[in-house]
Amino acid sequence: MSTCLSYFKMSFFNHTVYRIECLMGILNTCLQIFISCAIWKVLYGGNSEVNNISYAMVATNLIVAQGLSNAFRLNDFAVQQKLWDGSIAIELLKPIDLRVSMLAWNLGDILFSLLTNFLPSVIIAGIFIGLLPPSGLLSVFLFIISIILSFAILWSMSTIVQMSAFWILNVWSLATLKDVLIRVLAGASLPLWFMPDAVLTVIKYTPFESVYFIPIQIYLGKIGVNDVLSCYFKQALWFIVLYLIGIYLWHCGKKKIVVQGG
Amino acid sequence: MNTEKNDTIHMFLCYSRTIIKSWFQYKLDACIRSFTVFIREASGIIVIYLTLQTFKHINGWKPDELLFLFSLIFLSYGILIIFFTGLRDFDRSVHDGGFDRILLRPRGLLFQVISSNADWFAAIGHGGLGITLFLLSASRIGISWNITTVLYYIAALTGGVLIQGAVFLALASLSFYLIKSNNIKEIFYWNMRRFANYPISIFPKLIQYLMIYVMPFAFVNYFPAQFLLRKEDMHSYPQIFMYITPLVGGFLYFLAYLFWKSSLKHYKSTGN
Repeated sequence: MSTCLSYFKMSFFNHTVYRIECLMGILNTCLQIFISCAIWKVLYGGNSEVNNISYAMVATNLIVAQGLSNAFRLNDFAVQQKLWDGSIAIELLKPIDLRVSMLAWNLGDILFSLLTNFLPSVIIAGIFIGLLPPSGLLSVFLFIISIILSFAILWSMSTIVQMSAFWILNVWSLATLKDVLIRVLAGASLPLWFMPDAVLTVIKYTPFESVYFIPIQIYLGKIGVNDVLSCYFKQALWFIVLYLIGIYLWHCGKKKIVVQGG
Repeated sequence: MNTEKNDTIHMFLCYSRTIIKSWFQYKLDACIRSFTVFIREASGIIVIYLTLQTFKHINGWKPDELLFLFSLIFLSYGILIIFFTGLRDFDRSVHDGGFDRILLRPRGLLFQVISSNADWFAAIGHGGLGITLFLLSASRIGISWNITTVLYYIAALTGGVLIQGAVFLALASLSFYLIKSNNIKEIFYWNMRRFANYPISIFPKLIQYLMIYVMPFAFVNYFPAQFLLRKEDMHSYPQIFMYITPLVGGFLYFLAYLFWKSSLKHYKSTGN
């Protein structure tokens, strides 16, 4: 546990060195949010509601989801880098499981970007664009549980991509395709209320709906307290499925590992 | 004089052949990567297209017209990157001292920088997307393609390439002063380019001014598209803007070239 904590601390404080980068990150997130909100404002024209959805709800969706997607950025190339420079051999010798140390490292990253990127960006965007308050104190609490589950899903998706490095040596294409699917289907750039029905039916059977859309619906109070449990169940189910695939790949990969050079 | 000219073309071809060989050494990987760039860039357009299933238009621009607007920015970037990759990644070669090697060779500096690299995956991905979008939209938006419009289209595309080339050249020149100019490129080029994906008339006035007078992406796609489409939102801008893209491109490139020339005098090697 203390080993994990030091990994966590190391990755967290690693970032504090790069202050300019941090400011750039906030600027980037704000700009991204600002552009999408400007577009949706034009799309709405003068209408206060389209399909029973108000512009404020759309703006809230875009601000929260894009803020989160910038904060939940995982390094899909961690395993690949270790394979390329051979340090995977050392990692395997360490008395801590590689995946555990990677998770601790990622959590440090994520906490840092939640504090220094997500929060400031959401506050700035909230002031200039307008963010709906959560529908109640309870929904804040339910929302936080839900985004923890979303992070778990994103993390296990990233693990699957990373573990593919044992087979395909360069995971850039796979990682990019994964990001594209998340960008289009998870509701960060197009709130799923406005997704055409045909596409929406398909999304219902994929993990992407669970990534940003469920947490935001909970935040806005669109999902009743009674239905929240079944949403959690859905998110947890996807997490478990993806996690198991990741573990399977990790165990197969370890066996066929080829360390280049020495 | 004549022999030197032939020599230049010959060298450019030699360079290009070598670059293509090195980029396509692993054929399958190269295809997959180019395709991935294509999909990555297309995803933004897919999102907009799906959005417009509900809303039908954005400030009077219908889906097909938007596709045409996008095609200009992607096509111009696809062409741009064949020639200007060396300038895009220029701060790296200043940083690692690669530029010193170029200084020692008996040929023009800019010629060497331009011809010695080309990001072919980006060229195929962006350019291919540009062509796809053009083919999808060009016949459905009521443009009558005749000699004038075709010539204008080619001139505007060249102008668009030169405008972005001028930006790359100016930013590359900055790296003589700053050594690491990557952040400035990130803010000025890539962030502003995000706005260029939409008709600029939908943005607040400040952004419109930036897009016209500071980082003139508006001349890369918005105004040329307006020349061919004549949408209503053109009324808020001087009509002459629709015609001057090639001039803006030539002029900016000339300015950037002067800046490059004067910045060269300030070059200090990073040592080692």
